[in-house]
Amino acid sequence: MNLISQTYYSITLISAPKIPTDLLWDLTIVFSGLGIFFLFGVFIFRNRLSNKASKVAGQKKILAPIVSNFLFYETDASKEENFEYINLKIEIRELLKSPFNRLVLTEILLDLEKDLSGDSRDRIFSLYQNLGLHLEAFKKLRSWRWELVSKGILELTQMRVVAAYGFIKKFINDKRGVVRKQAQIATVTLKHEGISYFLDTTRYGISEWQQLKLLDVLRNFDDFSPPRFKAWLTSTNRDVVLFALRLIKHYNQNDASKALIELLKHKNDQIKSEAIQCIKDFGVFEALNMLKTVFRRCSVDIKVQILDAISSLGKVEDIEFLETIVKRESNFLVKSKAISAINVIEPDTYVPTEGIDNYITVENFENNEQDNPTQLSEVMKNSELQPDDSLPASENKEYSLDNQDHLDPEFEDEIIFDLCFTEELEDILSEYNEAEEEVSYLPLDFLPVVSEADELKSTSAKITENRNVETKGNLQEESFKEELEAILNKIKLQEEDSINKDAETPELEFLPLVVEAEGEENIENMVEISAEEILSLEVNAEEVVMTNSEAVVQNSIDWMAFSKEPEVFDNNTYSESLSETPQDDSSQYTSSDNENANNLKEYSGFSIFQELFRTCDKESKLILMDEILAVGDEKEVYFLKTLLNDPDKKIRTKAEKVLKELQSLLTPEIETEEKKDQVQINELDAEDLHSAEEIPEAVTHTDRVPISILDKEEDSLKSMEFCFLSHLPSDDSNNQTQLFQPDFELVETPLEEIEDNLNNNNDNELNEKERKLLSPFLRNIISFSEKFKGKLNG
Amino acid sequence: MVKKNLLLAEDDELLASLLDYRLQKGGYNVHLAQDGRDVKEYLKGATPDLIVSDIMMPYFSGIELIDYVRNELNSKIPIIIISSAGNEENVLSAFELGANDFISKPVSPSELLVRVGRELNKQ
Repeated sequence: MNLISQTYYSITLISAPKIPTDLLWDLTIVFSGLGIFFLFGVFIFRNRLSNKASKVAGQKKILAPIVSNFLFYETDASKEENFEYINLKIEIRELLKSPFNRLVLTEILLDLEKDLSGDSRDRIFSLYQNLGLHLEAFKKLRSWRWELVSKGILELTQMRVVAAYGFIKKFINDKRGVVRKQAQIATVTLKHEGISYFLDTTRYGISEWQQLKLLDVLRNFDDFSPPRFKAWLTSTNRDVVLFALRLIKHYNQNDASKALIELLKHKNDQIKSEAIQCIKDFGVFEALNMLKTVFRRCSVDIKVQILDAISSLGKVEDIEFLETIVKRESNFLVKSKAISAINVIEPDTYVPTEGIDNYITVENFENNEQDNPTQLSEVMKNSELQPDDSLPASENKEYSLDNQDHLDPEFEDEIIFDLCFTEELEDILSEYNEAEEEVSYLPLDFLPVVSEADELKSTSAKITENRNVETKGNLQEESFKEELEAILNKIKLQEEDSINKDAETPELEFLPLVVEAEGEENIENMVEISAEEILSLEVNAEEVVMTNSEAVVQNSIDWMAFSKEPEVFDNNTYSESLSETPQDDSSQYTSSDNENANNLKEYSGFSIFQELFRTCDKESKLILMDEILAVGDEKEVYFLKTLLNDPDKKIRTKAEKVLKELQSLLTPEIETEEKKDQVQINELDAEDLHSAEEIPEAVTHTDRVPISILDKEEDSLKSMEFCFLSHLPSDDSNNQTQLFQPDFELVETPLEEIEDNLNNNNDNELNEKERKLLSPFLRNIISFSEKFKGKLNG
Repeated sequence: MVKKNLLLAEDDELLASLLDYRLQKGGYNVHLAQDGRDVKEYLKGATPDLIVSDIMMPYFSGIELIDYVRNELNSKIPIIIISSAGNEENVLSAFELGANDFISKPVSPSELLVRVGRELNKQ
């Protein structure tokens, strides 16, 4: 049993403590009571405050008219008003006995002080003191409660009670921050000298906000003459120095250079920063050495500011210092600022280096020019430089052919622009010539004169040579016309150069070929033809021999150059031979022998398809060949023949097929037309040959034009190049003769030459008509390719 | 001489009473309105010669008042706007809607009197 009693013993279970419910009730009652008391207190206080507010509002309504009456009382008022005023004074004295009324009146005046300005405001200040309300504020200053003291200071400051200055300034160094700050503002506000007193005496720090408020007070002063704030740069109070520096900057007091330089050594970064700003703004050049000296010890921000100051004050001598910073400084910001400072002192010292391809240099560019003569010539042409003639034309030609598919579209645009420009100029000239007979003065002054002086001189000399007697007015007009023609010539000469250099340049391939030749040999043969051969020449049905003066031949050369068929014509050779033997022109340029005629048999006019073939692919070429069959004529025959040598077999085969079909289509038509016109042509040829004999130094030039075209109507013409012929009368033999003048083919001949021809030749009327023909012809040519392209593009 | 009727719309009672006093002393009959609703009520039954209105008012701002007068009443009554400084946007809006003049707070009662006289003389 003992063992059992030792092993097992009764375990006392955890049981809830006995709750003293009485105590709980007591606590509930206590806390409920406290809650009710608190709510009751809130209710009472709220009610009291609201009652007071309503009382004040009610009292304000009563007192406001009295205040208004006092404010707007005028001494020159009527007796009734004066009587009322005196009564109000008595009434208000009674009212002022009550503190509540004093409080309300103070509130009214303080509110009105905010809402009113001008003389009403000044009256409020006076009324406030006249009613003795400032005494209440003075009492508040003596209070131990900081909020009351602060309120009293604010009241006295708002009401401009200057008498309170002496009382308030004592609070400048008050240990209570709010009172202190209020006193500082009051001191500065109440008297102008308050700022000096404040800066002299303040021992506490001046917060940034406080500085702003003080500055705002100073700014709103009327007739304020600020003291020399450099006096406080020596203050032991760091904030006073800082504020003084800001005031110096604000009032532009630049008489503190030495102090500013000395402050660069200040330990405080803010002061340093302000000093640097002042130095920069006032242009204190003496500070440069100090700026450099202190630079190393400064923080990054100050360093940046110093560099900024150096950039505005520094000279070339300071660049060395800046260079050392660029080299040694590790901070990116400082380094960048130093570079920018150098660039400010000496612009463009540092140029961009980041992301620059160093391989692109001027030398490389020159090498590129050497490697690429065509591009160089283009560049030179664009910049009106003379291209290098050392390179043979054949090389250029090959290069041009190789690269014709890679021509710069902008360059093409330039050429088109040149053509359009030429066309427009010719239009103007033609219009001018048309109107010349009718109008004595053509207002072309709007056109810019871009001819060089030399050209103008030469043209004016030409005029004087060609025309012996002319009136002054005519001379002016003529010189202007010559200027325009000189421009034309210049453009065409450039194009000639491009022909020499870039033979077969595709941009001008669309221009019609009116002379057929098969290379230099033919031309040389043509040149060597003797006068006897010319006389014995038999003109066949497809030939027209045209005779004219030397100038006209020159025109034909120009036109040929313009027509850009270097394969056929070497323009340089041709012109050279012309210049060498001017006396033998008639023999040299009579080129209508039978051999040449056979060579020239194939009309090799410009085919628009040639242009299109240049840029399209194989499939398109095949499609275009079908189109050739549909719309093609002699020019296309020639073009198709060139395609027979195409590297592509398909194209060759197709070209051969189309050529055969086209030839079969064209042959009967030409034959019938040839027969029809043979008689007329023979007559004309005979006449022209005689005229060639009669004119000394005349040059006969043979070009081949399909006779069939001459008599056809416009709708029967297959080639747009000859559309202009439809306007010509075909029945008159003289007019037909005009057609066979070289000018007929010299559509692009510069009008200057035609003008020369005009002077030299008696056939003025003839040339007038020729000129009229030129512009529409050019327009047709140029617009045709565009129209055709447009149609193909849909 | 018949006194001109002015409508003064200003929510600040103290300022309103002061201006009222000054304008009455200047020779005008002034009707005070505390807010926009009062203004609307008054305008339904009367047509003042001039309205002086604060821009910031409860229920019905000065801008809305101008809009109401110009567009709903189709009236050309001269309106002088009182606005606190730095409230340029509202002033511009007021002028766009057809306010005739503007005076900034703090107001100089003498200046207001001159402006009122000038606007009435224009008529």
